This record gives sequence, structure tokens and C-alpha cells, in this order.
Amino acid sequence: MNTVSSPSDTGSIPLRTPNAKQPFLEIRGLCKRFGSIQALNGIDLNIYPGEVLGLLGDNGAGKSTLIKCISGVHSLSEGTFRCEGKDVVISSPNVARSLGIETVFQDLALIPNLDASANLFIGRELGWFKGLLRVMNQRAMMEDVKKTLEQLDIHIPSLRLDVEGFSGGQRQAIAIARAIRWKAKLVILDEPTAALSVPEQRKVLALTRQLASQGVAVIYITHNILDVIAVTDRLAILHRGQKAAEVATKECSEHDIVSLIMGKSKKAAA
Amino acid sequence: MSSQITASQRTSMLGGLLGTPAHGKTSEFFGRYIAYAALVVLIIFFGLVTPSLFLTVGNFATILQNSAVQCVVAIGMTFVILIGSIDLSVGSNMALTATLAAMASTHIGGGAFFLTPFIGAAIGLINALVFVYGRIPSFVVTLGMLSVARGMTLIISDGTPVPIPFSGLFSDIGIPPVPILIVIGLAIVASFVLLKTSFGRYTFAIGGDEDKANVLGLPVKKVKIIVFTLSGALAGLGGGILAAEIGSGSPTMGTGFELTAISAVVIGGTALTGGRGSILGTVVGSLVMSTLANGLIILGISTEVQTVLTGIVLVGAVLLSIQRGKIKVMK
Repeated sequence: MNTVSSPSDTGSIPLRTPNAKQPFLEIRGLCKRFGSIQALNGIDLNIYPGEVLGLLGDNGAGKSTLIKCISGVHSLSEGTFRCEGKDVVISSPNVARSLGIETVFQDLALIPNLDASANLFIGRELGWFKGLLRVMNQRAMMEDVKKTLEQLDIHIPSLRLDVEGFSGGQRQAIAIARAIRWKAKLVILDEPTAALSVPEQRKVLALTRQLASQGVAVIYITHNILDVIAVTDRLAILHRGQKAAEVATKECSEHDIVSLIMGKSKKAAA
Repeated sequence: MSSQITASQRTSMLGGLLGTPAHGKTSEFFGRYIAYAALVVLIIFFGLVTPSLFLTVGNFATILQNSAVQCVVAIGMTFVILIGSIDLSVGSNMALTATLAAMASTHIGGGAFFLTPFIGAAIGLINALVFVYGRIPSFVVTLGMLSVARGMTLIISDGTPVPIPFSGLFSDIGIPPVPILIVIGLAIVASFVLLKTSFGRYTFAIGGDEDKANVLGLPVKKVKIIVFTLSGALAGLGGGILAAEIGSGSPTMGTGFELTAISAVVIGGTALTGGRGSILGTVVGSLVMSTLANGLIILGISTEVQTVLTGIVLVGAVLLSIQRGKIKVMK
């Protein structure tokens, strides 16, 4: 058994590496400062394919900052990334995407005045010629979107409507479909079930498990304890910019999870 | 996921059936079509009131001819407004470009006309670089250029018009005059770029939500630079056409042109907040203003009244078409 130890451990627990797989992403010593504010202070974390890692922590713990670093929105103040065994610098969202990292942000990053297929292909349009003067093949993109949504069993009333006319659940579905369509190797979901109706939440949880079963690595940020128990395999809890704990979900009760989020360490399990 | 359709979606689908990629609420439905409706109303009105003078081929040709320069500039302005910015320097750009081209024409003849888009583009590029890398509002940058370019025009021309020896370039020879052909060609190309290319889509995206466009890794800076350079180029071209029509590069030409260009774009259904609009709408918006002016002239109504009515049409168009739900606070 491996023991994950880091300077920030407040009660390290022997960690079962799922099937002894190679991590997709290794994060070492990640620090991020905004001026005088230390948002992240020495994060060490492994992300494994086929596993849903729950990223928990109270507001201000650094979850959003961490995923923005992984998805290339923020640059690192210190620390390294290793993706599929190779050292990488994730300097921009496009670099992250080229590594197979897709992020579904809390605000979904859907362009409101564009339709579903435009949003799915934004920045990566199918068509002829290169660069900005790429002539788009709108029919091909429309067909592609229809197929993707059908495969995921997602129903959108009309593919021609701007996404701002859709319900929260429909937009969430389009955002997740975007990550799936681009064959992401790591999908980051930031509070995906917040502001969704119950049936829509269940759908998102099902999609998440489907992703993992297909070998995709998933990082799942949530405050919702029920989500945590339903869908995550392992938990990493952040507290004030550091990793407070890392546990397998199965070894925790709801009470344990709440304590960990609040910054108290879990009773060490053998 | 729920597949129930909301009322706003129903309206949009109706718009979609009418052959336009429709979106959102009823007011947007109006916004798309208000210019066309206004044009039809004006034609019917003037056609009924003064048919013999208004409803002639020659008169319609005059309307088109009169709107050509404004159309060219307004097409460039459409891109700027679509990304949510504004270009107040186009009028001064026209004057400076026309004056420089007029001066060049005394050495290189009629070919100086073809320099105008490039001179205009250079002015637009300066706007673009200050806007993107200086990171100050486009309103401020282009307001500054308005003064700078106008001042430079007065300096290099000594305050007097520079005559052009090539005004014969545009004489009407029976087929549609060159300016109208330029507008038609430009409108087709601009429409294609806006609707069919990645660049066009990113223009809409930046206008819709620039924050998210950045997060999504779109080439926002590049698009902005191109848009302002394009606006400058078309302003320069408009200045060249106007100079060719009046026979000289005048230091006062184009004064106030930015306002009529913006009016044409807004009447045509492009939202000032960006993200929604069309080239065809701008062309129709420009025609609305020209038709209004033309009809009023035929009726012998003074130009002052024309100005008042144009302002009323502009405000009326926005009143009916603005999507208040999207703009939480009106500034």
C-alpha cells in the first residue's frame, strides 16, 4: 500500500491506489498567489483515469483556484504538472484542452447568444481552411451534436435556439456533452448539480459515473454530501489552500466528510 | 432532461421558420425586423403621398447612391458594435484618408483611390492597438482619434479642400454606379464572413460574453484588432468614395458621420451591447435613413426636420427592439 504524505497532511491515511493504475495527472507542490494572497500552498495530488475524485472544502479553501490552474486559466506561482508521465506547463486553456483536459465550470462557459452546436464546437469548428478565416461546416457540426446528444440520452427542444433560452439542466447537459464529445481524458465538473431539479441532478450523476466507467478521470467539486456519496471514489479535501486530507469515499461516513470539510481530521483508519 | 418548450422558445422557433437563425424573446423578433418594416412603411407612405416623384427608378437609384457611403462605413461599424465596442473615429478617419488620398492623386492619379482602405486601416490599427494593449474603453480611444485625425486633416490641408483630378471615376454610365456595386459586394462578403467563418462566430461570442470567450481560449485580442482595423479600412474606403463623388478631399467631410453610421447599425437591429445583429440589417437601416431623407426632400421639408425625424426613428427602433431582460441596468 502506498502512503501519500505531503507537508500539509493533518492525518495521512494509507491510500489504496485504484488498480495500481498510472495517474493521468500528477500535481506536485502547487502554489498560487494573487498579490499577497496565498490561495494555494503546496498541493500534491494524483488524478487517476476511471476514477471520480471528489474535491471538497469550504468556501475559500482553494477548490476553484486549483481547477483553474489545472485547466490553464491561471498560471502557477510554484509547482509542477506531469501529464501521462510527461512534464507539462499548462499555460492556457488551449494547452489544457490539447492534453485532454476539459472543464465544465460552474457558470458553464456557454456563450449565451450561440446555439448548442456552436457552443459544442466553439474554438474548434469543423470546416475548411485554417485559422480565423475557417469556413464552418455547419451541417456537419449540427449532425455531430445530434449524435452526441442522442448517445447521452439528452433531449433539447431545438438545436437552433440560443442556449440562454434553455433550462439550467439542459445547459448543464450541453456543457458536459462538450467535454465528452472532445474525448476528454480528464473532465472537471464544478458544482454540476447546484441549481438543478432532482431528476436533472440524477442525470448528471449518471453521466459522471458513465464517464468514469469509460476510463475518463473525473474531478468533481461539490458541497453536496449526497453527491459525494453517490458518485465519488476518492476524496481530496482542501482547507485554506492546503490539502487537509485524502480518503477513499467508502471509508467515510457523512459525518466524517462534514468534519473533514470543516477542517478537522478524520480518525485515522488502518 | 426536460424537453418542455418555454414561450420565448416558441417565438424563436417561429422566427426560425421564417428563415432566420432566431433566438430569445419577442423583442428580439422585433429587433430583427423593425428596419424592414420601417422601410416598407416609408416606401408605402411616400409612395402614396408623392408617387410621381418618389416611385421612379431614378429616385430609387438616387436613394441607393446617397446611402452608399454611409453603408460602407456602417458595415464596418457593425462588426465593432457586435463585439460590444464603439468606433467614434470613423468620420475623422474618412476626412484624413480622403485628404491624404487627394494629395497622393496629384502625383499618382486615380490610383490613389485604391490607397484609401489601407490608409483607413492604418488609422483603425492604431485604435485597435491602443484599445487592446492599453486596455482602455473603445469609446475613449476612438473619441481621442476623432480629435487627433480631424486635427491632422486640418493641419495637412491648411483648412482648404484638396481637389481630386479623378472624379470621373464614378460617373453614372447607365449600369449601377460603382459605389452601389461596392456596397453590394461588400455586404455579401461581410455577411459571409460574419455567418460562415470562425472569425464571424468569435465576433458574436465576444459580444455575447467576452469573459467566457477568454476562458474558452478564443483569440479575443486578435479578433478585436481585426475588427477595429476593418472598421478603419471601411471608413477610409467610404472617405475615398465620398471624395470621388464631391471631387475633393475636404477637411470638414465626414463630420458627425459616426453618429449616422451608428444609427444605421442600431436601426438595423444590431444590439449596442453586442452579440446580436446582421449586415443585411445594417444595410436596411441605412436605406431607412436615406429613404426618409429622400422622401422629406421631395416633400420640401427642411433638413432640420429630417434630422429630428431620423432621431425619432432611431429611438423608436431601439424602444421596440431592445431586450431589456438582458440588460439589468440601463446606463
